[in-house]
Amino acid sequence: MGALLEISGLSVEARQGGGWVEIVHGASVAIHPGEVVAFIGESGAGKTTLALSALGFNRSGTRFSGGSVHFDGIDVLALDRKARRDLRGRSVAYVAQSAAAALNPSITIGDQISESLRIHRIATAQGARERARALLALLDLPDPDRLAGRYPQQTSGGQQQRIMTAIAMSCGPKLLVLDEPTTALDVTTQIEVLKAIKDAIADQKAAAIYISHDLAVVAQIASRIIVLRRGSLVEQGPADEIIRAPRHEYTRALLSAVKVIPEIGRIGAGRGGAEPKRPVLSVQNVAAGYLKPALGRPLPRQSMVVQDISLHMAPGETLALVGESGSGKSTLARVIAGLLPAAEGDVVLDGKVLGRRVGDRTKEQLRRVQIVFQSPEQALNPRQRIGTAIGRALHFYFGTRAAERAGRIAELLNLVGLPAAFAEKFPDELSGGERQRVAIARALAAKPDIILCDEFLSALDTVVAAKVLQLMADLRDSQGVGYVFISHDLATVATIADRVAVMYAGRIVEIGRTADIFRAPNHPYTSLLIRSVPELRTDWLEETIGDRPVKAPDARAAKIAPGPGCPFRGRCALALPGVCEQTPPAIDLGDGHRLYCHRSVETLSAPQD
Amino acid sequence: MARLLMRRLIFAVLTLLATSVIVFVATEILPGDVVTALLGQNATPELVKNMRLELGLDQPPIQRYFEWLGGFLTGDLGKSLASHAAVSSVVLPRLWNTVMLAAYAAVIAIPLSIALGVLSAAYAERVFDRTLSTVSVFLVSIPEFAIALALVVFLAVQAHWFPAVIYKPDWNHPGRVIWQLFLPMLTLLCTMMAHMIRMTRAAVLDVMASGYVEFALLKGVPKARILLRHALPNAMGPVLSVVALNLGYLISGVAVIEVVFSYPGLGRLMVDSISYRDMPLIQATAMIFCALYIFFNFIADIGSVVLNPRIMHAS
Amino acid sequence: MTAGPISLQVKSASLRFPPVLASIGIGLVGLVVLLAVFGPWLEPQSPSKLIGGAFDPPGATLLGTDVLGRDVFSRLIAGARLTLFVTAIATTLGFAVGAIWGFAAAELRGWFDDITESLVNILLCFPPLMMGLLVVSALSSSLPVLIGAIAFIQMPRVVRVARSVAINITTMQYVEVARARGEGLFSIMIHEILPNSLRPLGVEYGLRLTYSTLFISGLSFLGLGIQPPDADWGGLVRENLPGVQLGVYLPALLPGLAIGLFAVGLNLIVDWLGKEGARPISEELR
Repeated sequence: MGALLEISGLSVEARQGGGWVEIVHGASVAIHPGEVVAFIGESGAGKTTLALSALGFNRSGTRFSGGSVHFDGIDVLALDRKARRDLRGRSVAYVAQSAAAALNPSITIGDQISESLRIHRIATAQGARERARALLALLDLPDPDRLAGRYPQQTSGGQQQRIMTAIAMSCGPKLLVLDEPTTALDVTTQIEVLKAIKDAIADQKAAAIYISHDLAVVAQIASRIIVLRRGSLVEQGPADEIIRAPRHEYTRALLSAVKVIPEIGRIGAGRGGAEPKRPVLSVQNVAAGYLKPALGRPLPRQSMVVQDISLHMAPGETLALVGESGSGKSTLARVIAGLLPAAEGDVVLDGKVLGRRVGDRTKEQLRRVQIVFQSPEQALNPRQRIGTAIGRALHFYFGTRAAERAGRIAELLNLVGLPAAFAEKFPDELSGGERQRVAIARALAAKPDIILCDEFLSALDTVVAAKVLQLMADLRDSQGVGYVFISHDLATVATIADRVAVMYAGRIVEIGRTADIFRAPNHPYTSLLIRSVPELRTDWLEETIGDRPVKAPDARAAKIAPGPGCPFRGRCALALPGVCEQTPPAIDLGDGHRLYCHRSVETLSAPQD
Repeated sequence: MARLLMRRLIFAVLTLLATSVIVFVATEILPGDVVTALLGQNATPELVKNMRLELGLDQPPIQRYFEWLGGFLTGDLGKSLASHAAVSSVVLPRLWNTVMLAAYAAVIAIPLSIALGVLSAAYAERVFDRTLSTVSVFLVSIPEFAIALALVVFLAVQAHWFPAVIYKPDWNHPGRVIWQLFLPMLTLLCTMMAHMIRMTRAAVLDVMASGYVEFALLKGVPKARILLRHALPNAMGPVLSVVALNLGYLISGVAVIEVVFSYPGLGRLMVDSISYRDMPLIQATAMIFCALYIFFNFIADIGSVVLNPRIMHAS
Repeated sequence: MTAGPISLQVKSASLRFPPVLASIGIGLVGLVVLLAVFGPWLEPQSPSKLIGGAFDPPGATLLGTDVLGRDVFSRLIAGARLTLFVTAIATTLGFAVGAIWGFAAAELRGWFDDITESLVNILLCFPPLMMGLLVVSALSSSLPVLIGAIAFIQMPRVVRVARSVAINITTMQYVEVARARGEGLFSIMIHEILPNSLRPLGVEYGLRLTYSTLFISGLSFLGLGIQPPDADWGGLVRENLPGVQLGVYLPALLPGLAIGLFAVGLNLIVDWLGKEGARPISEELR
């Protein structure tokens, strides 16, 4: 059987400054009917650019400069506007990365699905409505009739992603292009969306290009993997072969950087102790929120984003805070840093209660706790040279004079593995990984005891992130600095943290040594999180999803209003009606391992499903 | 949403109150004594004293403010110092003239500007758009009195097509009025359309750069449908705001044009009252202008809230 | 290639050589500035000296004489000086206060920001021309009052823009880092906000200059701005209006044209500066 899509020798150029630079270099790809192929690679590899050529689409500021794209025998790049429109949506359909941005906020979901059917004259208005309903049901969305009449912003992120897939599938296309459809989702949602997409593709017998940077995700859905790097094909082959026996060095690097939870014996930095007797940093019964108090009245507890948080950290320890987005991890970091004043409770440094705001702390106290953030784009002031950025911290805390500063800046850059000459550069001359290294250097300039790392590695490509992670571990050993490591990524946490606190809806549901967290007994939420992390084998999804309800409740609907009771009860498989509305008791499992649940240790130790 | 609208309404009313304070204070501290200025040469101490009593100027300012405000709310705007006529009888015909001129301009300008703005966005960076933007830049830059003057020179004084001055608009003959008011209307069109076109274009283009428009393109939706069904509904909020703000400008900024054409409108009345120091008239005209302006600001505000799909269809 | 988040930052050195329209703008504004600065050496006559009859046609002098028999060309140059002087000082004053205020509101947030927002909203609800007329009628049409009034009218608009520009910066993580380090308000305004807001503030400054020019011209045209015998461009139009009935158009039209060209120049520059930040749309939609 001939190829459905045949891209041969395709080159794409992007406008840069005054001229054009080639970003895809003569790539050739063939996709057969009904086949699911993954495009994998880091950002800038040209995955999306290449895949969009199947729709004859080039993003603003790019152009096709060579090669050809044939779909079903049609020369796609030679089509006129009308013919291109007929192709798009009908024969080749696209699912964008961010559903929140790609769905129109002023058109109902039902209308957005039936629109393709109507413009391609495939169905009557009535037929289109029925098909929309059927598609919503196919993608495991609850109550399709009601959903069709709603607007995208009235649904959760996971639902939006499925809705977009339904739109793409409406005309029964022969080829689907899925652009990182689960990347923006929490792991617990990702697994459900992934399963829904996989089943829908199989149901429609469509071919698909699945774009991702995550090999473990791709392994679950693709039969073939194509590895791209800087606009060129590096390697391609059947999925299990690529995963088991990669031939190219770059593929091996990608594989070794895949974030999977290691075996129990290799979890944690292997140094973690129980809760420290003399902590360097303590958080005691902290509650905080973003609402402003009105005229001296205390804030209602419902408005708190985090509450009842208590943590203790030993010197040089790495304490991880994990949880999905909205769990209050970052809010807690901001409270510790003094950027957000706590409404209740204290942050204690070396036995001394810290002021709630930055302005109420001494320079020395501020120096000892530094913070680094997630985004490489925002980490550094674009108008400041790297040397100035680091020098500012030196000058601020130590009053280092300009003459001595240069030497110290060079030392710090060296410490994070960057050449001293970087001091003269501006941030936009640096890669994402380099910028994050500079951010660490700037934090280290203060000679801190603790660095708060807020999703510090999330925005980096896996290979780069792995290197920065190694750097952090080295610095911990050589400089004795402790980390509060905030992440949604359990696999990374498993490799770096001494202890882990699991947060849900602003509360700690479980805390303990890393190794203890990753084995039963667990809080039901912790087990859900751990089981949702994709493993690097092709049958993981089918094995895991089998024992889970596919039609998971809308995470937003299941969010419990703050107050007494277990915050997780709305999504918990083990919830006991009438019991979980009470504040759950602490279960102490020794060695500082505590979890908060009404169920018995025996129940929690059994494999949960 | 109802609460949001209520809050905006309360805010508008508070702003109007603040305005009244400012207008009152500003007119109270008019340089020189109003009474002496009015009486001129005849000012004997006796006359001045009687006049002050008559005008109530011997009362404390706060009391006078509330009396003035109360009068305003009940429709009693006082008497003109210059003509002794009731302020309302002077102001109302003028207000009618101004509003009608503004309406004349608005009826043409609003649909035309939105249409041109959308077209301009649809053909962004093409000849049509570039020409229109360049013309717009010139039109927003030239002061309205200069445009008015040029129109008068070329279309009235030289070509004799339209009257150069409109002392008395002939409301009984609509056809004639349309002709009479053509030049002031054209001036208003020139100054306000450019702004509306530019803002409409910007609002539509902003939406056209969004993810959902790219997604629609990749669904195979034709360009015209993308523009009208996907882009325009999401751009309507900002567009309506601009329209309302321009109406506010239209009403409160026509003074200059009314002066050029000697048109008996509210703006010219205010300018004249300032030179005669006719305090009640200044107060009345200023308050009417501010009220209209605040009203249109309020409409603009409401529009941007009500037409924002993420607010309108919030969960 | 994935579509990255839209950067609010403007890359350094991204200003290329200005396109034709912007060059024209720079030329026009430059010309007016030169005329204003070197005016005293360029004027053939003293702008207040009577050199002939009313509305003498061009010939003996470059552009003829005005309503009182003064040299039109000299008065045009003197008008440029006065217009530019009032505009520049008023705008800069309103702009400086507004920008600092807006920055502070964005960085401090909390009650200061709330008060700022309400105050700005209230101030923006006054029709600007009415405000100007009221202030002038209440105080006087002296230069300091005019300058103060224009600066005051501009200020809330600048506060609003400066605040919204600054809020995009103060939520950046490098500012959070500076704040967590313990940097004070002033330091954050100078080191973090200001360098990153130069482009949008430049655009706004240009717009405000245009606005001030049109505003003072309008007031003067109504006879409530700069008072005779001095005249800015708006005043020149006003004093030469009688010529229009006599068929002498140049003395009234030329200053109007001058205002227009100066404002066009400013707007062309502003357009060019502002365009660089726009989000691109697909070529297929053009």
